[in-house]
Amino acid sequence: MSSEKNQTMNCRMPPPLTDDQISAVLDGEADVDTQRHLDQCPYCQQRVEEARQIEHLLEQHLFRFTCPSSQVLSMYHLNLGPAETVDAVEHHLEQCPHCRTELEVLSDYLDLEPTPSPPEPQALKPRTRLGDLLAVFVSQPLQPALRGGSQMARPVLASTSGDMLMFEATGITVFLELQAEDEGPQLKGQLVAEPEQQAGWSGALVDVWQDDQLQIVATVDDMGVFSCYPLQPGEIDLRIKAADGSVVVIEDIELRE
Amino acid sequence: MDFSTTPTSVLAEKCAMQTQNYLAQRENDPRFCYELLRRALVEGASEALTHVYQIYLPLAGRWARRHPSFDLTDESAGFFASTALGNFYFALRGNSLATFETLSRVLSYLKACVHSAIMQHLRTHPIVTQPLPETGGPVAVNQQLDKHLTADELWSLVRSIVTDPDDQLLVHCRFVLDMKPAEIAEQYPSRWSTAREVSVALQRIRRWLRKDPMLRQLATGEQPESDS
Repeated sequence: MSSEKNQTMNCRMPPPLTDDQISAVLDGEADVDTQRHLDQCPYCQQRVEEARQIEHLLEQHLFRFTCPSSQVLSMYHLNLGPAETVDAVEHHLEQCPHCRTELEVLSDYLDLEPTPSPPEPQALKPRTRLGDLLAVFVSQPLQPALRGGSQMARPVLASTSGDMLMFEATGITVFLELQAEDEGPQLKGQLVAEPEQQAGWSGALVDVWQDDQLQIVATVDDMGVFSCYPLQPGEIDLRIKAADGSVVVIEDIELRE
Repeated sequence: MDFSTTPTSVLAEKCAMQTQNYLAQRENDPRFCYELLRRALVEGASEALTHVYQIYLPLAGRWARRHPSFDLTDESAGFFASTALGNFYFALRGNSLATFETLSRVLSYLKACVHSAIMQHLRTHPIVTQPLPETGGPVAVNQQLDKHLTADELWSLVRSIVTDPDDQLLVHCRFVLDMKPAEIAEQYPSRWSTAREVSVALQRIRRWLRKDPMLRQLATGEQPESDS
């Protein structure tokens, strides 16, 4: 709170709430008198709000920030973790009830009887999420049908034209082209990132989805190049996922023979 | 068995069948799946990788739906299945598959990846099940500063404000591990004999934290008050 506000805002029901009373409010343990005071005093309401913001900041940023990832805990549970992490995980488990609970849940979960997998009733294509990088279509050579019309037409790749499309997301460019092959079109692509990030995309997984069905999974090589074959003409979505969890999504590309 | 001339599509067909046998606890031959996984994870062959996904993505999706914490999430089974298979691939690509002696163990690891995907998601996207206190609306932390602040940086700041090791342990228990005073007293009886003792110490520490100008600025975005 600024000094100006501090000077102009005074407690309406002095004395102002104590720090312990403010803590009680934050803990949901305020007594009736404290609650009544708070209801009638904007000054103390603001003090409570500031205290809440500070504790929220601490809770949001610090909660479990020292915990090993769930993946590391799972590796530990299955005796698959590197030897050097075992001691660290065991030391952490001694003090962390959350990780102990995670391991108990995992143990019970793995003990569930395996069951045959019936046909999936729901599509398994992941929806595009807030943190995903949605690559935007930025260029396609002009085609006669597009000249003079909207330049924001759906991206179209034809194996006969030799066109290359370009898509961009934050710090990433993806080039795509289609080539005719015996069993169907082959989608060739290259992902180019900022130099310091390019290595992170090496080995990334490329999923191609068509009508919500997974068609092809391929990998990105050290040069950012990937190849998806064979595909069928029609509309596809592309998801490129790096080992650090970063995802680039390219939606609604039409493939033509 | 020499699989060198066996087409990947044949391996995939047999692997799918043997996986169903395994899940139904019938006799099964894991060698087809093992070879398919080897081509996918060791050789990085796209065709084999595609078949691995087509066989195991539905299974991972089904496992996700059966996870006890799945209903606490706001995501689809497809998201967790895809995340799990991605993590499975990144962890086992190269030669790591050799450390798994049986198909059962490989599938246990995939199932553990499903669990990890759900639990990791819940760490960063907790679902609020308790109503906020009456005075509490949405908490507006200073977004501009907030998004640039790492946990390590914030923890360093907290440790510069709270310098006593016992007090730092209390802050760790309260804000990092979200422990209640009774749990803290139970875990560290040689330092705090009762929950009340923990509560009193925590009240004192919370007062200090609230009064720190830098922390106030980070949380509210307002300039620190002058001492005058």
